[in-house]
Amino acid sequence: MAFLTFNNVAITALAACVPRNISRNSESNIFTDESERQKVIASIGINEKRYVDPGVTASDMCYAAAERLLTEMKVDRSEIDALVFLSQTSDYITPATAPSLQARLGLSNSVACFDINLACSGYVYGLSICFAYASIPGIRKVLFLNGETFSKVVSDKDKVNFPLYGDAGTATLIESGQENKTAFFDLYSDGSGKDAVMIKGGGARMPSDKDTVMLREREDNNFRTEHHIYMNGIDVFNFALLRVPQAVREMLKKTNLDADSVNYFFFHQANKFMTDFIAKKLKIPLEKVPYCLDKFGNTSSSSIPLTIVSEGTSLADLSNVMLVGFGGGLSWGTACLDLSESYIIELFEY
Amino acid sequence: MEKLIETLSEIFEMEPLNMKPTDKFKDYEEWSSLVQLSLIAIVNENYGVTITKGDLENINTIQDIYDFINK
Repeated sequence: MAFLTFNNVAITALAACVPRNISRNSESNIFTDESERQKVIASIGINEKRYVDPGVTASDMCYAAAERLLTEMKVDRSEIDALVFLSQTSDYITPATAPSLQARLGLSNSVACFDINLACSGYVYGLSICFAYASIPGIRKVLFLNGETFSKVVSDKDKVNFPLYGDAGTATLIESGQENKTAFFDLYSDGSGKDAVMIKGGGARMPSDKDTVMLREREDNNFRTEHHIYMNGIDVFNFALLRVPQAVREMLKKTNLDADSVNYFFFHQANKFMTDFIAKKLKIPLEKVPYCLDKFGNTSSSSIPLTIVSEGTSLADLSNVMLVGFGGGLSWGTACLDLSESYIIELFEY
Repeated sequence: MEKLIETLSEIFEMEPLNMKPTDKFKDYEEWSSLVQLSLIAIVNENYGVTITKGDLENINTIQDIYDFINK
């Protein structure tokens, strides 16, 4: 059972950026008529999202977020002992992106650097690994860089996915020696649902060739290549409906908390229809569920840190918050932690 | 069945009186991928039953939904 407890480790700072370019669903020509457009926007709750310029990657935005964090927090870069990069839109298939960020950030060669590839549960999973590293004697500070550029993998002729996804880059600093801080993580997987959200082409199972790059008509008049993100909305919805409330209740049980004592629930910003439904099922008042998806869309694994940065400074008390990630894999997890002393750097544009 | 039609009338934005058990609901004007999710959500919430994508391929009429819920 992957239930993890860490003492005296905490997030000490967070930073995030979004691209300047705005894609407004109200102006998108993907919808067949105005009434469909209105209904989709009302249901998914996404008015607009951001997208990067060609040539800009998730790691570029993560680099900018990390630079901002290290500079504003006056972090001694020689104290960073591990750097973790988590994304599904890494720079290359190989090598890993984390070492390049070590070099760009001017960190020493004795930093442990590696990538993690997970979907929308990624922030919770990645954070658990950073907390574990930070708990090891000798590791002082861990830098967790998490960003996505789904604008590069979404088909603009796919009515299901195109209105949803946005780009973002985030940086989280994790440190030990934080007295009276306890964090809990509870992690889950169900690989039998691996086909529900996927980019099929370009990996070892389906190498790219002239066939995989062909734009083809798929279900419901949506057009994609095998290098575009595919989502089976119904199966993902059913998965989230069943597993997310279960996992939240399980975390409350394991930590002897009730939902009232949790100040805020930072859900992965999938779409408003889904998260509202989950909150309703758990009887969580909506004012305890911060959102930024109206402005930035679903930024996949980076949606939780982006929401903390974008909304966190206006929230009253972050001493006991739950992070809830869920998505492709299928993979999901929750974390319960204290962000009251985490320094949140103002969101900026890349 | 009346209760089910009442519930479905909300998501299809139709008058319950204009809906019959034999209706093929995928032919309704309002049918869309979003309405699919609403249907799944409402059945899950009101009846505690999960309709998968595969199930939905074999569910064509309102009677089929009724039978699926009461299976």
